Amino acid sequence: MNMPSGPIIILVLTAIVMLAYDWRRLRDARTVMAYSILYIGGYTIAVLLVFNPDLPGPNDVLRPLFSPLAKLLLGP
Amino acid sequence: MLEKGRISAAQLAILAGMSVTATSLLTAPGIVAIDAKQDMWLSPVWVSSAGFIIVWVLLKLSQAYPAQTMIEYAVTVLGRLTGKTVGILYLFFVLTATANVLRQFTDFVKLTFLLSTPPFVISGGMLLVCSLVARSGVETVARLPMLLLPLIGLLVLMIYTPSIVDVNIHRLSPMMEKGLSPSIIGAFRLLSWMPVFSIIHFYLPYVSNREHLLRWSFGSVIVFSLTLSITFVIVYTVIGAATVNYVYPFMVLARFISFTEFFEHLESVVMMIWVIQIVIRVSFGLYGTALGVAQCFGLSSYKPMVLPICMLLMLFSFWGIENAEFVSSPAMVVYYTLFGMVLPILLFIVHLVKQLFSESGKADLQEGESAA
Repeated sequence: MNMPSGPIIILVLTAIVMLAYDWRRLRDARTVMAYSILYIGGYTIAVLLVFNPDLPGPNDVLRPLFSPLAKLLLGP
Repeated sequence: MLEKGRISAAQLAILAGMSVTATSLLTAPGIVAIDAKQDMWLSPVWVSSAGFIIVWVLLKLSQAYPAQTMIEYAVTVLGRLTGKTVGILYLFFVLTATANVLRQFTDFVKLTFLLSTPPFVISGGMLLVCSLVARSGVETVARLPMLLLPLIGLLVLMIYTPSIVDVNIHRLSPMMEKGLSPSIIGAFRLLSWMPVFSIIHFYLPYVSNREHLLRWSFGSVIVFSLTLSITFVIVYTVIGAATVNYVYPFMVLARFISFTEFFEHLESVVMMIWVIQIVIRVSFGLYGTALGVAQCFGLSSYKPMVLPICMLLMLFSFWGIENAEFVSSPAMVVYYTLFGMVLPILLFIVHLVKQLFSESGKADLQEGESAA
């Protein structure tokens, strides 16, 4: 298995820098919870995208959802 | 209150107007020209009505709930569970819309100027600036466009004025050859920009002079439509029917200019306009999303949310997107319209119905009391 080392190093570096930058502001429990939801969610997506860049994204969900209505309005 | 800063109605109008102009100036001519052809200058006129509706509805809602953004009054209007769900979906819309703009910026810079730079460096640099702007508070976000507006005006005029020599006004005829329908379809495609005006509701609670708000916001919509209309006239009269073939017709316009063989290579000017406007557009969306997330979770400060949202913006701008042209696809236009226009209108209708029933309920109660 070949590890893409460059992107992983950049990701780890940004993770550390971001946490260090925001560390002092994360005081109450609600902020820590909201921050960690966004932070952990974001990093999971980032790591997944490094290993599999062709992962279907949110737009692949939105397009089939709205294209029937668009076809109705604009014609085929 | 999460934010202590105060802005004026004029600042908000300039912020909103410049944010919507940002991507539309460069890419809209090529997209609208597909259907509207020589009538494309009419499309912004039709689409401005959508802008008026959005702004009016949001202002009315803001009058009813003066200290709240849509994320908060959605809970008041729709109830806790539905309101929170609608709020989170709306935040997702703002996030994806801003991410799409970021992707358009990255693609443009990568295709035309920085050919061998990795794309994440371009969008990362942009996001670093925007996160600094958004963390500085609402006053910085709103005053930055006011500061940069004269510069943008000057640079845009530097593109328009020399191209007047090449204008061939006969390209606009036959006017309305197939009736109004081509220009209305063009206006439909423009609806992927107009709903961005709905992001102003994040800023409305912090406006100090509310009595001028309606005038300034409508002025912002009018100026945006006029700018687009003038751009369309100049682009179509200079480039002609070939506008459809270009992704960035405004760029072609700048390459066309050769004024007295001295005033040439104005692509860098286009780049300057684009970078400044994208900074304004992304910080507009970024501040809104950060504030909305903080209000949704009930936090005491929105500032820690800015950097994780930046990261999500960056990911959403690359995740499952091959190129930036999908933004103008009809499905995305419907998505933008649904969240930017239909959602505020629905909220407004529900609010009106609730008000009507509560008033009639009160009146019944009073009558009953007096009868008793």
